[in-house]
Amino acid sequence: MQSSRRKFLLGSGVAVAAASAVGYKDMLGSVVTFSDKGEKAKDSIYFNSSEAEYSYLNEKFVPNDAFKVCATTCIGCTTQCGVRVKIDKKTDKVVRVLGNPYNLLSTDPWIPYNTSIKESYTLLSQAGEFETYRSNVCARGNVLFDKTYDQNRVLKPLKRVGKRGENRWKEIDIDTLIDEIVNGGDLFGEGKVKGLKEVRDTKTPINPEEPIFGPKSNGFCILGTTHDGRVKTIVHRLLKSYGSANYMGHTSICGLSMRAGEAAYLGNFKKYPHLKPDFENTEYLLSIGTPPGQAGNPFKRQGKLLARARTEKNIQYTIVSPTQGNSDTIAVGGRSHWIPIIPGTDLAFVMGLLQIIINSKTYNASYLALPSAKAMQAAKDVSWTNASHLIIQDEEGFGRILRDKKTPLVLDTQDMQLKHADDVIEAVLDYQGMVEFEGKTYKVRTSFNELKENVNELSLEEYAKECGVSVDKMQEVAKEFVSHGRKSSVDCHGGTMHTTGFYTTYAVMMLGAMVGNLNYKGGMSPGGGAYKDYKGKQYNLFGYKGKSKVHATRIDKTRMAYEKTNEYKKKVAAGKNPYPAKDTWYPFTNALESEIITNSAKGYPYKLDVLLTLNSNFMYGTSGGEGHIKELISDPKKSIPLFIAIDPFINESSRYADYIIPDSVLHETWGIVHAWAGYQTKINTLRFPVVKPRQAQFKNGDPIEVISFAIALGKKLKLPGFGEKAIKGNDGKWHAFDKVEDFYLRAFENIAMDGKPVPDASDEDIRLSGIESYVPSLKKICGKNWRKTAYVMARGGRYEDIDKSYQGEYLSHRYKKPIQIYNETVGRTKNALTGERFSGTVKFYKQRFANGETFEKAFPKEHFPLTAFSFKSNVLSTPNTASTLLKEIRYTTYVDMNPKTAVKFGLKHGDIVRISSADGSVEGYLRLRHGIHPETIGVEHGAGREGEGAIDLEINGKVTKGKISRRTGVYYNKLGLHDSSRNTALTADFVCGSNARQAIPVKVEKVT
Amino acid sequence: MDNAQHIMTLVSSITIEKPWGIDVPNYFWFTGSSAAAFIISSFAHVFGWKKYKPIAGIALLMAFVLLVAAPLNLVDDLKQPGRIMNFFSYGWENFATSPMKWGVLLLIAYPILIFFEAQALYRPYFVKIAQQSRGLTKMLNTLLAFGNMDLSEKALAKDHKKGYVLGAIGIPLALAVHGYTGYILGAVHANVMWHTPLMPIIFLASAMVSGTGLLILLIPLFQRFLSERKSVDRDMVATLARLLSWFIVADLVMRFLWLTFSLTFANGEKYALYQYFSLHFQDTLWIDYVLCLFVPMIIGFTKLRNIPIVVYFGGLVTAIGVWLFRWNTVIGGQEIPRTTPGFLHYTPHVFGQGSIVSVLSNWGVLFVLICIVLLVFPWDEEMEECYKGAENAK
Amino acid sequence: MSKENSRRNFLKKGLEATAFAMLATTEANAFSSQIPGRDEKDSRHIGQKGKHFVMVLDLRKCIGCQACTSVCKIENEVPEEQFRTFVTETEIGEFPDVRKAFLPQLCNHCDEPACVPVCPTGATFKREDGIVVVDNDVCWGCGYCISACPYDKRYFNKRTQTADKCNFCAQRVDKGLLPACVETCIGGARVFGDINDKNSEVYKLLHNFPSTVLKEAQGTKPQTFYIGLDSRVEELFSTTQSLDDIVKAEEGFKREWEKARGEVENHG
Repeated sequence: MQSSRRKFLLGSGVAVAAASAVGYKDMLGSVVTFSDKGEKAKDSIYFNSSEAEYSYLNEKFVPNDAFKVCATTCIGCTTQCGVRVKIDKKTDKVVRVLGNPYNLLSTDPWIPYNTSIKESYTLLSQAGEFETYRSNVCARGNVLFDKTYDQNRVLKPLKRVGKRGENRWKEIDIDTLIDEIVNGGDLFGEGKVKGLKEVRDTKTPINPEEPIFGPKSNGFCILGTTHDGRVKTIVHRLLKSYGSANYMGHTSICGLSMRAGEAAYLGNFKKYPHLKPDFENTEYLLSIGTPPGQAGNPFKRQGKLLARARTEKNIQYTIVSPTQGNSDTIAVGGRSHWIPIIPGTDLAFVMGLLQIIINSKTYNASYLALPSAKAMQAAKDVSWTNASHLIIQDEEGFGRILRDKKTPLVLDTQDMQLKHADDVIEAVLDYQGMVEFEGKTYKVRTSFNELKENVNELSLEEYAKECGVSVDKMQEVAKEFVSHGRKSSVDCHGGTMHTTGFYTTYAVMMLGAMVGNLNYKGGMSPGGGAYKDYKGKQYNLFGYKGKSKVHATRIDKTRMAYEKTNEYKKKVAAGKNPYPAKDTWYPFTNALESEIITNSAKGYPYKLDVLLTLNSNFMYGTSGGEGHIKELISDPKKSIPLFIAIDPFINESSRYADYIIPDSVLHETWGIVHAWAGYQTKINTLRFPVVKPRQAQFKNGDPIEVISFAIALGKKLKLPGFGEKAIKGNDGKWHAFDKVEDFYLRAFENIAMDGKPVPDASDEDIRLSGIESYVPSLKKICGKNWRKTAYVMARGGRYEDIDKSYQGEYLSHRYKKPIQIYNETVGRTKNALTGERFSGTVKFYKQRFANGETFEKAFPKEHFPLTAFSFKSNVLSTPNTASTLLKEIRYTTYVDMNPKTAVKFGLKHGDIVRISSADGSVEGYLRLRHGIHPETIGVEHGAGREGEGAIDLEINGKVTKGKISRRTGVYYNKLGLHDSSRNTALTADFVCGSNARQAIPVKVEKVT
Repeated sequence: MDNAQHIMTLVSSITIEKPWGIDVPNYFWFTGSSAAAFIISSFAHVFGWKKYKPIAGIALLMAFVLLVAAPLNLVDDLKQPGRIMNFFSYGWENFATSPMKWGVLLLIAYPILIFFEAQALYRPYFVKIAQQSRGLTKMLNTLLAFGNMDLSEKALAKDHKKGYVLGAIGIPLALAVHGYTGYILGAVHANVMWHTPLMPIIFLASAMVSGTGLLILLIPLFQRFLSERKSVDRDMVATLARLLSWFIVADLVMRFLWLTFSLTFANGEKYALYQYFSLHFQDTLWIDYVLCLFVPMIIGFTKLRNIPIVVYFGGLVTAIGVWLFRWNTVIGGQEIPRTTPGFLHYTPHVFGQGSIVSVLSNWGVLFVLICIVLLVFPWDEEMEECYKGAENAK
Repeated sequence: MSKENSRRNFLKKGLEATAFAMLATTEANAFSSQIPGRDEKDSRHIGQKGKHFVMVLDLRKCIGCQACTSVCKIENEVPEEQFRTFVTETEIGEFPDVRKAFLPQLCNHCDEPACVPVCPTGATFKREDGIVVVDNDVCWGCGYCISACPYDKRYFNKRTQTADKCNFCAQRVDKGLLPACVETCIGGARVFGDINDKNSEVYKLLHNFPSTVLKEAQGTKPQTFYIGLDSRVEELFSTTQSLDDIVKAEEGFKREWEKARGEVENHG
């Protein structure tokens, strides 16, 4: 070969060899040095799993000293299950969450309360009785503790720099923060801001023309979320001490329609009781839009009981919902049924069922004829109704139940005479006519008669047309429902969050009255209650000197009738029609978080000065929040002059705050919670910090969080009930309220001592439940009861044993008041906008604005052909977006649509579409599935976030980038509608004011 | 599926990753082409087909370099290349059931064999060079001649015999070295595309196609630019083109058998394969079959084979086409879901192990090895002598 | 790895390489040794003698809640975007006749595993108690076992760079506890136990109810049994496309993950 060619080969060979070596450097590096890639696993076979917290082999129990396992509460969603967390002692980090086998929300059957801690572990081993006592945690609860360590967590108090909502902050000292919010001043260079000290005027009326609205101190409003075991403390110890009536939880954006409808049915607008099916024993469950296992509270318990009932017992269940939820599985064959329905038309469906049952007389007539508790007892029944009570139909006293003083009067079937209900065994059920009482003639009708007339207002065919469910199907369901008698049950929840949700729920519950299922095993249950915690045997933790008795009108215009205002009285006095009022009023609603920003902006009933939110997220949760509240809250002058948020993460709402106060997260918090529903025995689940909170501390060593902040603020404002002599023992002794444990350990002691006090905790119990560090405080605070308190803490709460659930065929814990076939309070209330009377019993209404204008008219089908709804995610929940792991399980959410509908609109699986209502729009990827009604669009709630790390966050000039995984998905509530019949308000249930997120008329288009 | 009974919509699932990346099809292509080059060299060395004598030496060398470069792909595809010794230390209990285990023995034995065969072929030339030179060149060539400087008839006959024997052993070994890669895939009964006993034969058939295609590209290149001839043996090109066409016929027959059985006469698992091929029908048909197989086949069987540039094009597309076939088989086979929904997607990384750069590096290594063998082995002289011998014989 | 370690490792491997080269001419038997853990009868490698662990998935009780999916990630520190178990949620049928079907999936711990015999290093094997495990100190990451699994239940662990899969939480099972997914299964669909024990729940379930396994025709004799499995669910390839991957790619999420991993490495 020529040498030039040789040189060419040599040269290029060397050059390419060098390039290849560089290209292969990753591989060659390892091969040449025999070195490993990646991170070495902790164990060759067990990989990176953590060591077991204990071993139980050959009947020998050996705890692993590297870990402690503590009982606490998961507050990852509103169910609030009792769990155990396994903590690596070296790092003080949670490594795993386990079920708490004592707790009924995690376990069924749960272990007897007097089981030793050691046995509670061994029972769950291979050699134990795991299959009986399996105790578990859901997808959320298992992973979301990782949010504790998220880089977006707020660890130091923040003050905004720049405008509201820009998400730019600087860290400030907590003492400075408290000083600023107490004293006010020109805090942001935007003019003077009133501080809490100035606002706290408990004498001067907030509105001189309406003394009934209360004093100026009502300008301070607190918004919470769910009852996480800290809210009551804040309301009683901070807000009432301050002198304001304005606390609202999240119920108006959660399930208020359901709560209010059930409160009407149960006749108690004070406590808002509610019912749940006895999932364990029911034979037929009719669930309107809340598939157990997919949605509802208690999420885990319902899912577990349903799974067992359909596998081992005899349940049939029908889910009426726009989408096929996770209650169904083909593995159980014909036990499970799905009736697809258009959102917001469920009332028509249920009215149809009631009509069939009433007209075919397949209701339990003898039960409904029981007019009183006495009659109930005589009939050996466990509940009764006011079906036979007489409602006055005369103009004077219209809607009132005919009574002799307090005792209702009924017609006895024996002789058709008017008698005291207590003296009648069987009253006339269906009557309309005149009765004479004490010389006066009354035009009356029975509750049942009004119900019967209302359900027959539309024909069955008309109801069928409204809801799109065939008459045959309704007939079939009604027949099945009554055939199981008292073992039939009903359920509904967030699906009723539309403009006629109140009556929908009332009607759903009314089905139960038709078979008389209340307080029956397999029927409906009001829950098992709880042991006394705050107001208990040892202490009344809510009592203190100087606690104000607030008489005021709340900012949300709830618990107050328009007719009591001077506005009404003046109009009447002037001979004018008092209607419409300036805006709606909600006399029997207990709280409306969704109305406060708009009300304050309107100054009706008055303006707020300071808003304090406790982990609240009214923006994301409120249908229409982004479209309508955003503008009001962005400008301090429009609605809220001073906005302070206590929030471990900056969410869509606290983003607009002026100050952010850090908070403990999950297993770092204190609290006492009860089971919300769906259980039969007493339960108090408690929690106390089991890992050290990561955020900044107060000078006394308490981490900055909700309660410690309240203490500091109370002391600064010199409010009653803080500091020395603030907690009163029932033995007359006073104790200081300086630290959070001063309050909660005493509440735990109350629980331990309620009724028959619990036993003493053994040293072994204390050691094995990881509460050794609390012993000094327990000894100091609880004195001789410290071991009893420790007993409760070791078990994460106090729980009644499962054998107390039933007494024969009845529930042990029953609802005592009568069922309201006709609710007098509702029947005597008028719509403040129209003066129209609300129906005292169930009645059909179409989706509508507050003044009665129907959606049908406002949003015609040709413009808005589809109806949108959101549904509960079994994985996501709003406050857990900062859990990176959770987003791995459910990365994003979609716009769900039926393939048939997609064909009609020329859309494909995976297209990006825009969904628009009259007032908002949102984009998302289209997911086609057959399990959704063709006339609807469904969105899983909980993604498409704009807070909690989804958007850029600037603190002290340093920017943390927002994460795609948190932004991704569909922010459904952007579709929310404005109520055009009201001044600056969102659509709401026209009776109870609950925010209407369901049944929104929308159109869809492809985004190109 | 059209049947309404079978309508299934997916609500939620999780997609998993697949293990084998771009290195693996490249590896298969290299071993296959090596086997093919060896077989072509054996046409002359073993079967005595004189026509192929001039290119037998270079083909043998190409077989050698391809196979030396090939295993680097495997090592690069390993997640733990530093643990390569574990392969030799452990796992022999799985020898009978893990074709990967066989492969290593083959990968070691086969290039050694080729080297010895090449040594036998080129020994006289090494001796001549050693005799004519001094210093390093002399040392090197003496070394390559294994110190045997005997150029007697007897010694040359011995070389020839040694070459023949090694070539004869080499044929099954070459078939095995590539056949085992077919085994690796064919043995995976979990993979509906791979699992066929035909797989080793399909691989061999397509290997012959790619190997011939490669030689069609390389030999003229070497002849024109690196040898003293400075011109291309157009007859040889035409011969190879015709050979290529026959290999394509064999390949098509094998693929026909494979696809007809797996798509028509197979059990229920064929539905997943339907699904796969319906997703990739157009590109497979037009690129894989029409462009990369039918077109070159027609070139080889018609007078087009006398136009070198057309033949080069044919060689190029077959080489690429077989590479794509390897890709479609390895990556495509992994795309088919087993108990997960939906077809998976694989996009190679640009840098790092198992990346596009890795494969380019492998080609770089091949290039370097070619440079080395071209420099070390007197291939051009040997080739010239063969041509001379052939002319003399006329 | 510390410097010293890597040096030691280098020497060790170097010696091994030399030894191999020296032994290459001697009989192959010298290399037929199993991996060290098995030769040493390490209890993690051998498992619990006399027992045979199986899992029963009673689909009548599965509510598709993904609790198992999520606890597994925590218990086993499964790297991001990877899963040892998960539940596929599908709808079967055409509106309005639509039924939900869930398929919780995990390693089947087959009696005739397809993954084990193909392993060229013997890093994956079946323990005496039926649990199929991977020794991540031996695995060289060739991926053959992953290819061989008919259930797609193996993957390369991004962190250890070795084949990984469900091992029935052997770390818990060996201590007398239960796999994490079983512990957390809300509906009680996952039942785990020793099939040799006639009093065990798994024995009772399998003897009282018809059960089936996935892809029986593969001949792998899975030891993960399903009650109430609809055969259509096995044809998951015919479902509509999963959008998550498309969305992740289009939104740039994958890149975000990689970046996040980089950050972790830099700070850790």
